[in-house]
Amino acid sequence: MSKDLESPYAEGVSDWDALYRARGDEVSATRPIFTGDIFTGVLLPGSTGKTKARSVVVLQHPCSMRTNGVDLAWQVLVAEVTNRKEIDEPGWTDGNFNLMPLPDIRPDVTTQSQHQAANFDNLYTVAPADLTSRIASLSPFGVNLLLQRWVHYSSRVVVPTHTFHEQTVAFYEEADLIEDWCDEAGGDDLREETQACLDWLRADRDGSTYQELLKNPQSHSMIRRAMRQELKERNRAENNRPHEGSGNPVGLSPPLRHFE
Amino acid sequence: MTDTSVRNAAVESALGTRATAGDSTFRRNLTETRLTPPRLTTTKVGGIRGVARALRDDVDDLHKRTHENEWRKAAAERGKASVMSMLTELADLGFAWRDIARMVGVSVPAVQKWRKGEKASGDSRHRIASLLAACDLITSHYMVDEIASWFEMPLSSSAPVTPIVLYAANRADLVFEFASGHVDPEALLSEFDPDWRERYRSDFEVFEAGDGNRSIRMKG
Repeated sequence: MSKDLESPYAEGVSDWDALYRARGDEVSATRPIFTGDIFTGVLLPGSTGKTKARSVVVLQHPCSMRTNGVDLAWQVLVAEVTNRKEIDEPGWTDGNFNLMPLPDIRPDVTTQSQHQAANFDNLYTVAPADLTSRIASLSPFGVNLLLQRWVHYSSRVVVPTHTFHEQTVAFYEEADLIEDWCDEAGGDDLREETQACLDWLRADRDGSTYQELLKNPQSHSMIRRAMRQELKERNRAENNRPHEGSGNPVGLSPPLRHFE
Repeated sequence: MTDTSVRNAAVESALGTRATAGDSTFRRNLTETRLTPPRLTTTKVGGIRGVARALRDDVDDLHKRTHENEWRKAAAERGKASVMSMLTELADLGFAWRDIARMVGVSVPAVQKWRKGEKASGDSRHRIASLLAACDLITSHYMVDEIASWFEMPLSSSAPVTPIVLYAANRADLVFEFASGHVDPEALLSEFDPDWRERYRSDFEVFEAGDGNRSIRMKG
């Protein structure tokens, strides 16, 4: 069992929702770009040389995606995503090795584009500026399944998704924390808020940092609690600061207020 | 005659006396049993053992039902609070939004919408309240500290199955059993997934590479 490629089937029943964190207009703009994110409208040439708007999935591993924690590398590895009919369980585990199926990626439509797949034969490196229109992001299971299929296609080695999870969970958690920070802080400048979150994660605390502690999943809940406390204190300080004009603090979004 | 009275009669018959608490004859016979094993035959002892097992199963079942009842009442009480305040409380305990979503059985964006004040369905509200109530029960009955961290702790080092996985699979009963400490965690894993040993067997391991990041390599 552990030797096969895995799938989102459980006892013969498909669970496409398990692959995704968010799809369509539910994708959060505050979430850092992550492995498995799917973008549309990226202008790329095809095999005939014709350039057109294509959909792509980010293949770059989270640990090599950013140069300084905030800015993406100047080029990011992606694979083209095109329409593809649903694939049955054997099609996941025993075939289609060059594909990462993305079934029900557009649950809102009944056209052919409802089900798509990433093709590992159609690879590109793209500039981060081209990745603007995100239409889906994957769940931890989806990310680990993508890595499993991509690594298998590249090396013919099957690594269990739970092993990938051990390796990627710290990065996924960091992306969650940054998204949460940006949502709650509610500032206008996403880059600035991301940097503030990273500064907080990287601050020295008795010879270690929260970013370092993220490698241990047993530390995650403690760090989440500490982050919420930090945001409360920042919000309190912001509210106590004198503001000109209206009584509303500048740059505070409604979500932040429910910390109070 | 009910099952229980049949079992009581069987115990009395096996012990050769009335098996009531506080009965001096019963106490004397038990003492004699310990001191003079030959007076009881293997058959009789086997019978007592069978009855004791049945009683244990009955008590386990009773415990589950009373626990379920208490959980239901606590959830109803918890459900009086607003969805937003319940979610805030779960987040303050240290749960990740993705884990809350998973245990409540919805998507992360659905939870994010509720946080912003969008209305949840009655069923979702009940599930959020139930999760909080489960945390209350585990904390108060089983003295579990740092409940969110506990929910993220694997039952065994041999498999990445956590109480979050059990709860999300509608097996809160196994979560409570694990919290109670009365059951071997690997037995719980087997009840949850009989194939868990094979499913989570891996020839690979994660290690810290030279750049400080975690990498994957073959074991051995």
